[in-house]
Amino acid sequence: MKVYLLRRVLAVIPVMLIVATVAFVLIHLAPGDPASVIAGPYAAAEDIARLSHQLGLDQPMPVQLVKWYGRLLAGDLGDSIFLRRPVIEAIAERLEPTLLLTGWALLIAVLLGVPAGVLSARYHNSALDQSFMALALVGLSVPSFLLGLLMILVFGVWLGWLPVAGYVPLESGLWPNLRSLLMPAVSLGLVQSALIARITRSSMLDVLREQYILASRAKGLAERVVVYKHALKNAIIPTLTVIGITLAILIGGAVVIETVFNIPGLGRLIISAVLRRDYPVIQGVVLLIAVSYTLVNLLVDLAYLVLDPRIRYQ
Amino acid sequence: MIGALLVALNALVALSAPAVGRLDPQRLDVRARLSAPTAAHWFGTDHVGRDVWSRVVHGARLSMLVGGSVVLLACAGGLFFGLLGGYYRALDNALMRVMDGLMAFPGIILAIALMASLGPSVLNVIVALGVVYVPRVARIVRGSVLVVRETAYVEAARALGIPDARILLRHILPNCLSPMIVQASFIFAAAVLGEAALSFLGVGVPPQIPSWGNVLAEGRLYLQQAPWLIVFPGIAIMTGILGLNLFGDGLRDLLDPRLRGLQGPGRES
Repeated sequence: MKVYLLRRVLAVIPVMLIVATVAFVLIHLAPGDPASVIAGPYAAAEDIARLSHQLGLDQPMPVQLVKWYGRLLAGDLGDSIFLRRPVIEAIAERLEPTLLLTGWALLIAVLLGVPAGVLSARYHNSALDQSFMALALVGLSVPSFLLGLLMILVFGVWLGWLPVAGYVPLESGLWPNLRSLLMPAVSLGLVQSALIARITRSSMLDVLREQYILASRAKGLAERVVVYKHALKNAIIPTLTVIGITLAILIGGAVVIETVFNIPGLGRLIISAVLRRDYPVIQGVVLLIAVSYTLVNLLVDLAYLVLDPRIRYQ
Repeated sequence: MIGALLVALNALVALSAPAVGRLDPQRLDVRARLSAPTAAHWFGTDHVGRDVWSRVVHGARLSMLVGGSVVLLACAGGLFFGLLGGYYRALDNALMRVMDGLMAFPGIILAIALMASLGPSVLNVIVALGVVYVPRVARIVRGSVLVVRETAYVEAARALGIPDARILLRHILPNCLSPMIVQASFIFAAAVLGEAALSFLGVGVPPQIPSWGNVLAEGRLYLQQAPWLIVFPGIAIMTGILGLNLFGDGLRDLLDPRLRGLQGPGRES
């Protein structure tokens, strides 16, 4: 188990290295000299030269790359060109809404998706199962930003129940904060619950066909105990993997949803950075998201150790 | 079946866009701006009086173009790296680590970052989304290659002294295709969604080109006065994606029933 643990943790290192390299390459993908692209078409030659020097773009590529790794190890993401302040500060400021939004959306997705999947499997091929799965397929076909727009239309504009857009920070109170995040989180989470429901159902169906389920039924256990105690425990493992994947989709979705609801989070930050060609900010946000996603997946894998003794004793 | 029907309908609309579009999607008619659906403008008009029906229809065309090109790009790249990685042990580790690294980025985030460097254009949207899906295809292909390369007939081919390239292309490749084809239909759907999301965010297709994402992005600003700007393009996206997902599900059951439940719409936006 220790070997597995160690190997899994060490496997993160090459991934991180590649993530950092991809973020580095981004700035050099732009056609032409990055400094003049960033400075814009009307910049003077000396401004471009200064910017080039400031970003270290006047040094040879391998030197730049090594320096980039070094800076990242020291936790330095550089300064924003447009905001004229450290990228890490700009990110820290925008973290709260994105974290809360993603967290609530994940909660909604799991709380809806897992029970729907389990019930569908328990009552396999029933009307309940079929309607859940039809709903799930429709859910998978609705982009979250479209669902968000439609919710704004119905609950914000027509019914007037919830704020149309905007974000109330947590410090202004939990309830106003929740109200401002309700529609964004539902539109993000609802779509993902469909994916979770589908996977939970199919892994549950696989488990319910196992011999030990037959055995527990044969010894007269209540169906309730068989499904929720014996089957669910094993069926939840693939679901856990999907929850890890879901998180990536949710982070990506949050970026889009923030635009729909005008929430000042990381998504707005990266989009405005793209429009201003503020590469250090783009690199910083992209890195942060990729690194946190990698770490979450590591945690998911480690959670297997707790849930699945077969892995533990290998 | 319904999926194939919806996909066919969408493709038909996309192909015949200039005919069924009736009006030029770019034509401005300022007097008829933000008009509700009428006989002249079936889906209403937008804030500068452009016909929403014709913009949605031309948007379908763009979506099909982007979806198809992304699938081709992702499958070509994925096959190349997947075959190499699966067949040559020496390359496998390095290649797959790079793929892992690329997959560590949520798809839409990587696409946004790439678009930031490449600049907004239809071609760049295709390239960016293609890069996002290459590792996903590569992994699936590699998985099948690892199984196929151990089979007796590949061993026999090797014993006969057939060159590696020929073994890969003639004996291994055809046996790796069906999981990839299933995945391709889901990538098509994801690419259509990805284009819509990128354009909606303003970092995808340039705003003057009619695309589902662009139509929605403009409609968002006039949500209160003109809900038809959201509702009709929304229905178009939903039925388009639903069709592709149903089609993919059907294809999977047809080609490889064992995969039932394992593969599915892998959503990234």
